Amino acid sequence: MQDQYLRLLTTEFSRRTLLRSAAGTAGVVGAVAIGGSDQLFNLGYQFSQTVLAQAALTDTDILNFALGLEHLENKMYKDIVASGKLTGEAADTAKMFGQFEQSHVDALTKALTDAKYANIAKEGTYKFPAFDTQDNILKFLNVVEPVGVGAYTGAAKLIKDKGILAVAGAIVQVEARQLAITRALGGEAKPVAAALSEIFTIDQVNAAVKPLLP
Amino acid sequence: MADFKDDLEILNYALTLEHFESAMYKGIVASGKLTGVEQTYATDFGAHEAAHVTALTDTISKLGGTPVKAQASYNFPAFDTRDNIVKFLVTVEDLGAGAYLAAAPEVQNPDVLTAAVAIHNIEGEHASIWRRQNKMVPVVGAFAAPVKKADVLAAVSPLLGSGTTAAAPAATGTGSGTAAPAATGTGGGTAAGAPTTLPRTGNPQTENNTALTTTLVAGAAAVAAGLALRARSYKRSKA
Repeated sequence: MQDQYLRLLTTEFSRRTLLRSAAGTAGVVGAVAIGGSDQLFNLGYQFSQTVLAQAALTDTDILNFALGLEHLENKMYKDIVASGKLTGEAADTAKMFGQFEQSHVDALTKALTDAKYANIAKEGTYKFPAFDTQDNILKFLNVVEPVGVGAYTGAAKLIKDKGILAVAGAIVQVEARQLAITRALGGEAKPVAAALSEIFTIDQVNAAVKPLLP
Repeated sequence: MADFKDDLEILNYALTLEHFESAMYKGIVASGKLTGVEQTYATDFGAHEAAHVTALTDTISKLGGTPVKAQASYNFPAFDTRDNIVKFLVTVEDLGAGAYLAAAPEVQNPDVLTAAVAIHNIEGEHASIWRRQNKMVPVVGAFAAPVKKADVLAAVSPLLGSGTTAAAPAATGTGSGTAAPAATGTGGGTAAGAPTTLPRTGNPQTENNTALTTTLVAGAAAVAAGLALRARSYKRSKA
């Protein structure tokens, strides 16, 4: 059950982009996410998932799932930095955290490429709110950052290779540190909300991300 | 090479650190040297550590183990000034987060693993907040640094003093990634480094992900030295 959702989310980004293209709104999508033969390939992949949904997840599936979220976060920070609406510490912080997300994207993409993974998640287009004021931006960060923390934390037990688990842990700690800081920047009196961090089921991740997808 | 023989050993290792942190926050809050938002942070974070103690104690008991108990006292430094306290908190919380990070891949029970990761995240969050309060970069790089058990014990043993249930002989010089650049600046995190020292216990039942692991670990290794260095410099300052 969970595996099925995880697989769906893994391909959610490219699939939705693809559907838009197919519906004739390709102008919006442009060549950002996927193009040409990749589209056909991804479509075939998507159909295959309904058949393969029961199959056990591989570690690369999980990494690709993580990569989908990292792409979203990476684009989010890029757009936020580009908005120029942050000042002072918040601006410096967003720039730094954006670099970390880019590093996560690069590392996961390289790993999946080296592993010859078939359908590597790519940057898509996302329905972000207007990044118009510092308050709004920080509020949005404090909605998205917990999803990243919760997704890695919930998925950790699915990872079989201990070396990969170690790296996932190294990433999720960074996501968690970022979350506490963005909460503090947002003026929250309790930047560390509880004794246990977010632990998101695949359903919860899916539900949280869905509104941001085209 | 595994650092722990089973989940119970990991849980008691974690519990030893949580007892220490819980007592630390009690002492700091009681000192009255922190004010305003920092006193609130210390109070809240101390409650988190106390909750970790309870959760770990219960889990160990349920798994048939014997939970370690808190010591009657610890060799804390004097909680005499705000600056000293915040610096100490940075060191301890960074160390705690690194300790969990290094130990987590060895956890066998999936539920224990989930809880360990969720607790680990909170230690990292605490650390980042205290680093911010101390005008330090809150997140050192794109990949957090694990701290091996031997390094953790070497750093913590002087603070535990005598009578601890967890003190092992403090091994020295086993720090990871000594050749990597110390990632203490504001850099983007993944400077290339020799990826030789992160835990890679492997898992014979699984697909062969050696290449994948190596690639991923390469990015993470570069920052490993930073925390170990901090732990060592702290040790020196205590000596």
